[in-house]
Amino acid sequence: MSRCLSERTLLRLVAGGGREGRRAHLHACSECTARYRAIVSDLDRVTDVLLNTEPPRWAPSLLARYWVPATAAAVAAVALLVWVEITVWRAVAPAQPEEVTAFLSDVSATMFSTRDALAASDDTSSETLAGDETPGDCSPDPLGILGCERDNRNEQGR
Amino acid sequence: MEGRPSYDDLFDAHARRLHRLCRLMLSDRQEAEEVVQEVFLKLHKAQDEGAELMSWGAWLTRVAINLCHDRRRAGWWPRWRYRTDRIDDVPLIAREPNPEEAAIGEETLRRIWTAFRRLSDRQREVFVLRHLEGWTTEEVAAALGLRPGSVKSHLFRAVRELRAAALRGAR
Repeated sequence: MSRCLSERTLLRLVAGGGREGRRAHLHACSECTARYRAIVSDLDRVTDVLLNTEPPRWAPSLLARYWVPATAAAVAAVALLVWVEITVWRAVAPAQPEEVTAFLSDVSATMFSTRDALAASDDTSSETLAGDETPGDCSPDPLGILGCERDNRNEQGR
Repeated sequence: MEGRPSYDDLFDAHARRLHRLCRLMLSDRQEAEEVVQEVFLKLHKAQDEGAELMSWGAWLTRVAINLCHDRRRAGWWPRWRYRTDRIDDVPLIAREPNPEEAAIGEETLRRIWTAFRRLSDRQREVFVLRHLEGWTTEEVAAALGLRPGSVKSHLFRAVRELRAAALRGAR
């Protein structure tokens, strides 16, 4: 008589598998036959339970039901916030260097044009003054610091 | 036609069985009811179209299995809902335990149902068809589109788990 069948082999035989040699042993060995019948009896009990009883009330899985969706919602909200922040930041981001350069040149041009206008108006007023008081080739110094060129030449001649 | 069973006869003969089958496969009472309604709608159409079958019972079972497959593939929400059933959602069993329940004991019942619930979909299907419906391995393989060897393999795993659950309860 060969060795008795393992539990695993018996389960395979119950499931319709297993080799022919093992099945032959099962028919020949009373001990294995008894164990086989015990397995079948256990499965009959399982079948009875599934056919004739109601499934028990399952414990509520509050963690899975509420916390997981809540966490997922929070993560989604944070992601949305970050995305909005990035979008807004890009919208109000500092101007590009070219734009800055163009802006500065505009400002510069405006300033210089104002200065030229001032200078032009000063020229006009100094000419008026020169015409009134010191006719001749007097320097166009609006503040009168440098004095008149004719006076300067006279001083150098002395 | 005289040889063909009427719709009502088939409903009376199979509705309860199919409901139980779908409920075991889907683990959801409401979904099982919907599937059974759909099965009998298909039966009505098939009979209207004059289909003639050798075994309407086997046809109904195959349709039910296919619809259960479709339901399982339908999406994650039903599964999520099923896995996270609240106490309020589960129908209360306000009745005396039947003889099986009384003989087996609450703890063993819970173990067996838990083990059954933890089986994979395929293992559950194979076990239900083979042991509860009494189909042969070849019939199960044909209905599920599997090789007989795969059916045996799934059945072996299901039997191992369920037997362990029953055994723990008995000891």
